[in-house]
Amino acid sequence: MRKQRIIIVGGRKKARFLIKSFLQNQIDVTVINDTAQFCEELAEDFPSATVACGDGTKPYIFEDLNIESSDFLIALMPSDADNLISSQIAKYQFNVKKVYCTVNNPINVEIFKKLGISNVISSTHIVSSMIEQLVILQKIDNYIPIETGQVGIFEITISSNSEVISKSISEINLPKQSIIGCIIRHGQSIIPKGDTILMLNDKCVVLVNECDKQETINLLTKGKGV
Amino acid sequence: MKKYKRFFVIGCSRLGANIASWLSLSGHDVTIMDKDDDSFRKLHEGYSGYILVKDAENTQNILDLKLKPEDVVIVVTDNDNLNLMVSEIVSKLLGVLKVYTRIYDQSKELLCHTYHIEFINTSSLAVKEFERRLGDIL
Repeated sequence: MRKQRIIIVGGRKKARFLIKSFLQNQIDVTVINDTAQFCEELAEDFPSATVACGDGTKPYIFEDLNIESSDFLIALMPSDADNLISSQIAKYQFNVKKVYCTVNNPINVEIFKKLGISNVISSTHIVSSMIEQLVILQKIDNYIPIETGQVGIFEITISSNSEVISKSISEINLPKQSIIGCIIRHGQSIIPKGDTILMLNDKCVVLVNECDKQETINLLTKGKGV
Repeated sequence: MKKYKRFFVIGCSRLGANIASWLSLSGHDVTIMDKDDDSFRKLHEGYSGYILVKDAENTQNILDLKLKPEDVVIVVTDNDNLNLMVSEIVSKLLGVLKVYTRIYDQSKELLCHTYHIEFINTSSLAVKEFERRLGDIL
């Protein structure tokens, strides 16, 4: 199989961390950075990566590195404008298959999406949602946000004092925008129907829209007399 | 009757200041924006438009301009990528029909050929002028 190729533009610690993990996964890594000294360090530390020193928003650099039809590009520069332009050049002029653009200003997530870059990552967003997740995590086992958190999948275990024990799914009145997709009981998975009865220690895998998330969690964790 | 137009100049570079001054002196409604308060000293003393001390890099500031499709936007900061980002937002998201952008690196123009953006490449204009004048000597 052809080796996948990834281009990392800009970034310091993030770039270093990514290079290391991609190389471990047998991915061909090309780095573009505008600091000569940092490039030298990288070239020394990662002999198997291609390191280029230059401005990652200039089409000629991409051309020199022959990045046409690479698999991924990640733009990690400090300026959001630079990242947008680098991503657009990669996507439209060099047909890079998947482009990830990082932004500092969270408002740019939506704006850049409208400008054609579908994968926009805001670290501010991620950190805040991680904190939010930590708060919710006290009640639930696992949470996977989808489409920047518009929809989420979480696992929740029915505890001994829960009000929903011995009730059927149709009885508990789940919010409209949520569904229990699967119940794990004694290691066996059950795809529930409306008449499935919830039992102690059932692990429910719930798919929920952001707007009904809190209500669904409250419903499934609310205890008798607590 | 001449239609009423609002002009927005993003970036008070030497070019931006001159364009804004000229527009204002010809009686147009002009707003000029730059992150640096000092840069407005370049404006002509007769400039009577609005001055906004805001950073164009923060896209919220662009959205806050409340642009209308019939407005004219002239993007002339000294940063190509910033100019491109601002022009794309103004053209594609806000639907402004007349967007003029200064650009140094010609190869980036390709990026926006699908947008309603007119590029003004100051370096190639200067080269043309040099060619014309040097032509007399050579």
